Amino acid sequence: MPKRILLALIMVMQTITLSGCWDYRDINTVAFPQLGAYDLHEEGETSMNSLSQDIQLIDLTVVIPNIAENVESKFKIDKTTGILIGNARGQKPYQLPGGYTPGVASAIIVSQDLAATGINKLNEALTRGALNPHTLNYAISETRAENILHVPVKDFPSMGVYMRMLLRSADKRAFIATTTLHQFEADQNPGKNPIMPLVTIINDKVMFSGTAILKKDKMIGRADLDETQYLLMLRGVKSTGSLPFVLNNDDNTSEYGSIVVVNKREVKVERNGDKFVFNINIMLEGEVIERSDNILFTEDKELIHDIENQITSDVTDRSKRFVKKMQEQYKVDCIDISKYALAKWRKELEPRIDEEFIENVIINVNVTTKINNIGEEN
Amino acid sequence: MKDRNGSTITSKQMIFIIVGSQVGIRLMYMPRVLTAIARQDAWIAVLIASIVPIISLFLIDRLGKRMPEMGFARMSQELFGKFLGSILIIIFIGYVIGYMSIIMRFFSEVTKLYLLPKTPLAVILLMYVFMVVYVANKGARVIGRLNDLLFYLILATFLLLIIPAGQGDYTYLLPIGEAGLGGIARGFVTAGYYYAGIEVLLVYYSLVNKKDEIFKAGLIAIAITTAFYVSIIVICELVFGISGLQKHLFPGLILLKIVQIPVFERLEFIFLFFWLGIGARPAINMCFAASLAFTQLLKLDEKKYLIYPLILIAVSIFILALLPSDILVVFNLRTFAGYGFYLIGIIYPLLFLIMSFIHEEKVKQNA
Repeated sequence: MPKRILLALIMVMQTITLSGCWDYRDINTVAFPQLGAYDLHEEGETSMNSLSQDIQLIDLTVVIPNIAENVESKFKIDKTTGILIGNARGQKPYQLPGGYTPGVASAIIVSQDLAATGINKLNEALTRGALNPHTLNYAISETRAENILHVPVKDFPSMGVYMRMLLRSADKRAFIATTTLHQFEADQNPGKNPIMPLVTIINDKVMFSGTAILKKDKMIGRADLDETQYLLMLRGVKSTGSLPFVLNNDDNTSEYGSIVVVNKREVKVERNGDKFVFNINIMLEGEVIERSDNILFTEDKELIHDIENQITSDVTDRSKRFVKKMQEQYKVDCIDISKYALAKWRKELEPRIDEEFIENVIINVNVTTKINNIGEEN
Repeated sequence: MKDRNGSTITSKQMIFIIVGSQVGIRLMYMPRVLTAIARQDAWIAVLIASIVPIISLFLIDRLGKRMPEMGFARMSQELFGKFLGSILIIIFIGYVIGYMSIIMRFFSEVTKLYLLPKTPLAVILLMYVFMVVYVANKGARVIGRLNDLLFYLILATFLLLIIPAGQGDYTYLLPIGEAGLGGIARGFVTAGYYYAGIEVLLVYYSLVNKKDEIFKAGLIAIAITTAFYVSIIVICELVFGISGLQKHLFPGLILLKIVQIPVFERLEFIFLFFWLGIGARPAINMCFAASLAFTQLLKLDEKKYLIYPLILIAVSIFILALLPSDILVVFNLRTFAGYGFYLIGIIYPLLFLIMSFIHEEKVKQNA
């Protein structure tokens, strides 16, 4: 009998305390932003003007698809201002009917002037609550980030969908930097620094324009699209992309063309007292895509090696130039090699690895190229 | 032995009960706590700390072999006398209530954070407490079978946690041994707490039908738990790095937020959905042990009266779990509960064993 009473009690209690009582929400009344843009606040009237002048307000602009039927627009763009992102979100109810749940957003764009002040404070609202996945893709905008949201999209349902497809796994399509919220956080461990894709608007089209170089969470420099190729190879981001080659014969161009390569990296570090030497070995493997000349590979057995050597020479030269730029201009380890020194001398190096370390090490770059496939044509 | 209230279990079920009592919500926060102490060598600390439950298992097995059919409560009263023996049983029950209130609070906090943000904590907690009472009331055999079933579920869901390892960086684990003996030793002491759960054997020992297989079963259970612990620590270190780990209260769950699998999308919710049952296992196993000890203490018919102490214990857990003002207080209390494990899991069986040698005659009479 007591068991039956207990069972009845459990059933009654469970029925009256079902989670739906508190957490029920009608999906049709909730706004699910797909894409967020973070900018420093543009001057104008906001309800936050009474705050201290030292605090620069943030504009949060989002793309929200209209899930209701029979509406004119497929999506709406909504902008609010706050002290940080969570606070800007908190202003949404004043101008948006229904609830607001950022749990399905797939990309965040931060304007470069805001990125220079630090991104961690903006991520708080994403990571402190449990709503957002850490697979959110990030990009830094060379223009105001909200401008990107206003670029007309004709071939995609919304800019949210376009940016998700543009940013996700971009490094598997070409030498393009990609970063997720998790990667961005993990890349702030000692000895590491994140990189992010840079996007811009050209002729009413949103496209990649290079890579943002960050010192921990603050943007401190940029690499253009060409430099990005060597940055990714040096950083060991397994990627793929097209590399051109030009073969010269007695100061004349004898042939040109392009190959598609995938890259790998190996790093070894040696130490002599306080002098650290990093040896980076970049390994490229690929296939010939096109050539300007019609000399057959079967006729000129050295031709394939000439192409390999030319690619090796070009990549070595450009990589060394990038390393020099990194050590002299950026002064942060954006190629992710300090971790190999930490792996050997962590306790000793960790306190000083992020200050004046990478500038004072010797970095040697060695490139090997292997063409595995010449394609269907001889 | 006589089957009391469906209360005999096989040694195989004992394996799953021990694993079920050890592996729970602690898997989600343990990597952060241990790496804060032993840095990248936390996995070494947890591996070496497996010696703690082995010692506990050895002592309980030695003790059980001397008085195989005597329940924990009777054994306590026989060896220490009625008064002191009863005090020891009450301390054991108090330990279970205290420890389980912490586990249940953790569990409810995670459920609230991830799944039911607007549902009051008390309601979530109440649901868990009901579940614990309902299952524990079914007796040891049902508990054994439930642990058996849920073990395979935990194994399957644990595989989900391995997926993010592909995004890891092996350099975070290096150099191995840099924390030194001091760091690893400090990690060892804390890691020992995480093997709490083996002490349920004090009560369950008399319920196992093949006593000669208990030690082997215990060793297998500890090996399984150790494998879970070492794996989760290594994966978390690989994925977050030591500094990154400290930023997350429950890094074990964050692991599932960094991967995206088409169709499934949000793995952490799928994981939590299954984990809700799995995570309550320690409370089910321990509450049953405490209730059984309680009925034995009062010399009541277990079949008839097990439910009453169970409700009493569950209500105490519910009230205690609601007392801490926030989750940070619960984390602090968890350390004290860890010390409790050393008392109940090591000191108790050692004292009992010593007393059994002192009262050799009584032991022989009851053997």
